[in-house]
Amino acid sequence: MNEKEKLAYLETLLFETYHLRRASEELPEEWREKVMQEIRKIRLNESVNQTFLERWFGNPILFRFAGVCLPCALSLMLFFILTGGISLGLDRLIIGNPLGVATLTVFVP
Amino acid sequence: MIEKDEDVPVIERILNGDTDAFEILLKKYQNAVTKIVVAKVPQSCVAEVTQDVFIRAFKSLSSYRGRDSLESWLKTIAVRTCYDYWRTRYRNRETPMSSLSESARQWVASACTDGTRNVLNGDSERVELREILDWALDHLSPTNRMVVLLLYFDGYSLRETSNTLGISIANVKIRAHRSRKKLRHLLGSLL
Repeated sequence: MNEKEKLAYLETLLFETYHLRRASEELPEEWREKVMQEIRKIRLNESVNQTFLERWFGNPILFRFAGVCLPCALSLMLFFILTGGISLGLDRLIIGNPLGVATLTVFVP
Repeated sequence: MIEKDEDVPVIERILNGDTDAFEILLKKYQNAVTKIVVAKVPQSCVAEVTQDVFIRAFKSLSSYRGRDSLESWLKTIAVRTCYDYWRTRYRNRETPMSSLSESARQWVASACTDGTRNVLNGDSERVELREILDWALDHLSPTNRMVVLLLYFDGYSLRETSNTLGISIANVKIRAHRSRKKLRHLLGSLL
């Protein structure tokens, strides 16, 4: 074989090696259980967060908004306070906007 | 299409809080995902990366829109997770790039001299070929490595490679050309 043929031959062998490796399906037994454990942990954390936000903010949509951009949420809150009305219930603070189309309810623990 | 429909109720159950239903998807698609991962990362990291793929899929399940089948969606996540694996590994690389053992070099010389034998029959020869493959790919950047694997080894189209890796088609072409040149040079040095 000349150099070019040798190179082509070696490339073919490497290609086959890659696909042989791909054909292997040996999986560790315990990994599936590990994935499920991790996923349960994630779900647990999510539900803890949801309980927390429901206690403090009442409205999950606004909480998500606050989570993404806190300055924006605070500005919005300030805008509501300055232009709208605030009323205090027994266990909650209600901030309404001037047009009355949205209301932020903050649960007081 | 049937498979896609079968998955929808399972996905809804998971999104409604039935975490254990994820195991159904896990069992169904583990082989498809593992086949991708096993070929792209070192053997010792396959389980870890495969776990990451499914955890990422679980976290972003709510963003699955059902345009493609769940299998192709998972495969894309698998390729991207492998890509991230190499990016992290290259960033944190503490040991120098592996050099090729003398036995692998000798093996190349003998295999190319006697090209007619079936070299993939022996286990020891497979080990040497794997070493050469890893050695050659280790010389490419994480992105170039993934471009070569997807484009030349897995048979992805230019557009598929570009979409999966999040780079332009022109960039894929340039990277493929450079990587091919570099690999040819590296393999040529063994002959």
